[in-house]
Amino acid sequence: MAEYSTNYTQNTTSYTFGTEVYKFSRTVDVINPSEIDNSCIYCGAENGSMYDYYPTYMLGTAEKAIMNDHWSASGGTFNFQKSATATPYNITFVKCGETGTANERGTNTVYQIGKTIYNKASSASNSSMRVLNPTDIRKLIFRPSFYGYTTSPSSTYTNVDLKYLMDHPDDFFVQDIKMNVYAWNGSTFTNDSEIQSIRPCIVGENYFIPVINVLGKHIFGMTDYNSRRDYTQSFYGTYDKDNMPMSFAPILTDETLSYNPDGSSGGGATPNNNKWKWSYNYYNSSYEIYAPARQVLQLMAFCGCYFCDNSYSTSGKNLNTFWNDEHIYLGEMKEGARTTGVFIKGTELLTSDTINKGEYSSQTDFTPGGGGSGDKIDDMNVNPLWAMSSDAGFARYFLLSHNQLASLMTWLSDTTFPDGYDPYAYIISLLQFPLKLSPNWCMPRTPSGHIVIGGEDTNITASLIANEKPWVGAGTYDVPQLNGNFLDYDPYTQYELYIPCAGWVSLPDIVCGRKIAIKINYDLTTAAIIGNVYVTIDGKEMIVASKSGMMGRETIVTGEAQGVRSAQITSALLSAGTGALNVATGAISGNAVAAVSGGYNIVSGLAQANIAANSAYTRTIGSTGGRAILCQFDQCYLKICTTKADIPENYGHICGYVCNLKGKVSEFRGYTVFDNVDVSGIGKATDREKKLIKQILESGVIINPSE
Amino acid sequence: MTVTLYNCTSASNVLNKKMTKVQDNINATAKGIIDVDRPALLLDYNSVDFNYMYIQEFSRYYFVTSRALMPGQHIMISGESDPLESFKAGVRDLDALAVRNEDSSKWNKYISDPLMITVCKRETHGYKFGQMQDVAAAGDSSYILGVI
Repeated sequence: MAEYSTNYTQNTTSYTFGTEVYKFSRTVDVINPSEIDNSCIYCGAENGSMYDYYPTYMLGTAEKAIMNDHWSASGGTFNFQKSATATPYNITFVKCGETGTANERGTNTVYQIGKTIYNKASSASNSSMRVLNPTDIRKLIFRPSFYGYTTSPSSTYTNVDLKYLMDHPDDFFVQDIKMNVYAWNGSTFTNDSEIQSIRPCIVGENYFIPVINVLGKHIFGMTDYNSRRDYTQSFYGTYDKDNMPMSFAPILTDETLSYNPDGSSGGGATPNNNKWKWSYNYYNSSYEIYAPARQVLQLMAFCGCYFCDNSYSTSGKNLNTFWNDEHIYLGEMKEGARTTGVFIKGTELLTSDTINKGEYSSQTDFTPGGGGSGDKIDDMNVNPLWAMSSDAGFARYFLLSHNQLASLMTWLSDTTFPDGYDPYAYIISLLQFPLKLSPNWCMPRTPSGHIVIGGEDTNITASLIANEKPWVGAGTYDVPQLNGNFLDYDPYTQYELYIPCAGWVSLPDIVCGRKIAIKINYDLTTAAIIGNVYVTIDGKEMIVASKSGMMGRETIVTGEAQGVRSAQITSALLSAGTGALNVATGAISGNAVAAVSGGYNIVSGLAQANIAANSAYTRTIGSTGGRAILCQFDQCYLKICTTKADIPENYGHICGYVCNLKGKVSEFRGYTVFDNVDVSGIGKATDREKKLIKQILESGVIINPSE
Repeated sequence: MTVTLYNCTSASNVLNKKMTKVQDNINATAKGIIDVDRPALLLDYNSVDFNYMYIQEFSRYYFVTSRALMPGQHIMISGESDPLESFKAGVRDLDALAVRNEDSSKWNKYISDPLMITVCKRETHGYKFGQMQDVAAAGDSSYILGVI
C-alpha cells in the first residue's frame, strides 16, 4: 500500500483499488530532488510534450479477460516539478488511467507496463492509460519470442527465446517479437497464452510519434529494403537520472498501421502474425529494421516486470514460488521507482535489493532438524564502501571488444598525428578480461561516444565503464546437510568454496543447512576483484568469507608514435644549424639542416615528406600479465568434505543414541544411560544397594515397560 | 523363611525383569547368620530349574549364584541381591537425566557422539553453481582501456 508523503499535503485524497488503498497528493507545485520520498510511487510526464518514454501496450478484448484484474483505472493527473524553475510535470498515479477515447485508441484500452506512465487529461490528442498495478507485477509473466537474425547477413530468419538473447546479446538482431503471457487467476497460473492484439505504441502529443526523430535523437535510421544494419543507439532520453523517475518505452510501432517519418499515418499494413515489428513505412515502401539483442533486453528490463524463457514452467508454482527459478527474469527497480534496464534472475532475487520483487525478500528459515541454532546476529549492513565511476578524476575507462581494440591499434599505427602528439602519453592501461563484459558495466545513461585520446578523436565508438552497482551476485546455493547430524560440523566436515577469479576460501560450518550467496566486487580499472560469501541467518546477511583475486591481466599497448618522432626529427633539423636543407630523396641525413627562423615550416615540402616517411617510432605502454589468469573457472564451486559414520542396525540397543533429556526413569524405554542419578528417593534400600542402582543406571539399564 | 523361585531370562541390568515362577512358598532355613545381601539357604526343594528367587521376609529379589543338591531332597543355594528389581517402583519414579537412549526418535543429532564409529575414508561432494557475468565464448574477451 502506498502511503502519501507528509511532504505533500495539498489536496490529499485516497483511492481504493480492490483491496489496495493508495494515498497521494494530487497537486504538488515544487518537489526538490532531495525531497523525493521513496515511500511514494511517483510517476512523471512532462506537461505538453513527450519527453519520457513509457512501456505501453495496447491489449485486445481477449487479453483484458486474462489480465483485467491486474489493471486498474482511475482518473486525475498530478503535478510534479523537480525545481522551481523546471517545467512542471504531470504526475500520474500508478494505478490511474482511463479507457482511451474511441478516436484515440479505438475500442481498445491502452495498458501500460512500468511504474511510470504518462497521463495527460483526456483530450483529443492523448488520453490516459491503465497501468499495471506494481503489486500485481508478479501476477503476470511474459514470455517473449524473438525473431531475427544472427550477425551473419546471410543467416536465416530464426526464432529464439529470452535465454538465447541473454546468452547472445551481441550476436542476434531482433526484427519481431511475439509475446505470450502467464497470468495468475487467483489460484493458479493460466496456461501460456499468446497476446494476439497487443500493440506497442508510443504515447505523446500525437497518437504515435515518429520513431525517426525524437528529441532530435535518431533512434532508428532508415534502411533500404532488405538491408540490415545494427543500430547501437541508446534508447535513453535526456532526463536527469537523479532527479526524476526513470521511464522508458519500447520504440515500437503498431504492426498494422504505418507511419511516415513525419508522424503522419499512411502506407499499408504489415501484419506479421501478431509479432511486433520495428518497422514503418516511408511512402508506402516498407522498411525493416532490426534492433540489437542487447538493446532489446534493456528495453524489456526497463518494464520492471517478470519475463521468462521457453524452458520455464508454471507447473506446481504459486505466487510464492513462481519466481525462484533460473528461467525467470525480473527487471530491476531501484528506489524512486526507477528501473535500471538490468535483469535479475529469479534465483538471485533473494539476495537482490530490487524494490519490485514484492514480498519475496525474506529468507526461508533453514534450521537443522531438531536443532534450532539460536543464532543471534546483528545486521552487518553490508554496503560497498565506494561506488566507482569511470569519470572520477582525470582517468576514463572504455570497454572495448576485440574488434574495437583492433581498430584502436590500427588508429595508433596508421594515423598521421600532429607533430608533438603522443597518444601513448594518454593511455594509462589496457586490461584484458576473459569475459565478454556486458554493457551493465557501462554508464547506463550516457550514450556511447568516441574514444578521444589527448584531444584526438579516434572515431571508435565505445562505452565508458561505470560501476554503479559494485557488488554483483555470482550465485546462491542451499548448502546441503550431508549427514543431518553432528558430523556436518567441524571437525568432521569442511566446507570450501571456489570464487571465480579469486580462488578457494574456507567456509565456517555455520553455512551448513543454510543458503549462501556469493557477491563479487569488480574493479574493472585494475582487474581486481573481491569475492564475499554471505549466509543469511534469521533474515540477516552475514559475511562468512572473503577473498580477493584478479579477473584480468594487464597487456601492453605498443605501436608507432609517429607524431613524436616527426617532431624530434624536425627539432633536430632546426637545431642542426643554418643553411640550406640538404634533402636526399628517401632519407634525411644526420647533417640535414634548415634555416632556423620561426619554426620548421621553412623545411621544404620534400623534406616534410621525408620526415613523415622516417618518423616510425615504437612506444610501449604497460607490461604483459600472465595468460593463466584468463583461464579461470567461471562458476562458483562448493566443496564439502565430510566424515561418515558406520552405524549398525542395532546401534540404539547396544550403545544408545545421544540425547539430553530430563524425565522420570519410567518415561524411557529400552537401553538408557542416565547421568548423575540422585537415588536418595529410594527409601528402604541400603547404601550399598543405592550405589549399585546408581551404578547400573549410569552405566546402562534396559527399561522394560511395567506390566 | 519363605522363598519363591523363578526362572529369569533378563540380564542383570534390566529394570522390570521377565521371569517365570517355578515354585512359591518354599520353606527355607539358614545355617547360622543370614547376610541379607548374600544369603545362603537350605531349601525344601529338590530341583535346579531356577536361577532367581524372592525372599519374602527380606522383600528382595536375588540372583541365585550357586545351587548344590543335598541328600534328603534338599538343595543348598546362595544368592546375591538385585536392588534394581527389588526397588523398581522407587527406581522408576526417580527424576533423572538421560544421556543415551535406544529410541532413535530421541536422538539429538547435533550433540557429538564419541561412541559413533566414523570411517576414515571421507566423502567429498562438489556443487557447481552461479556464474560470472557474461562468460566469453572461446577466444573472446573484453578489454578496458584507461586514458587520461
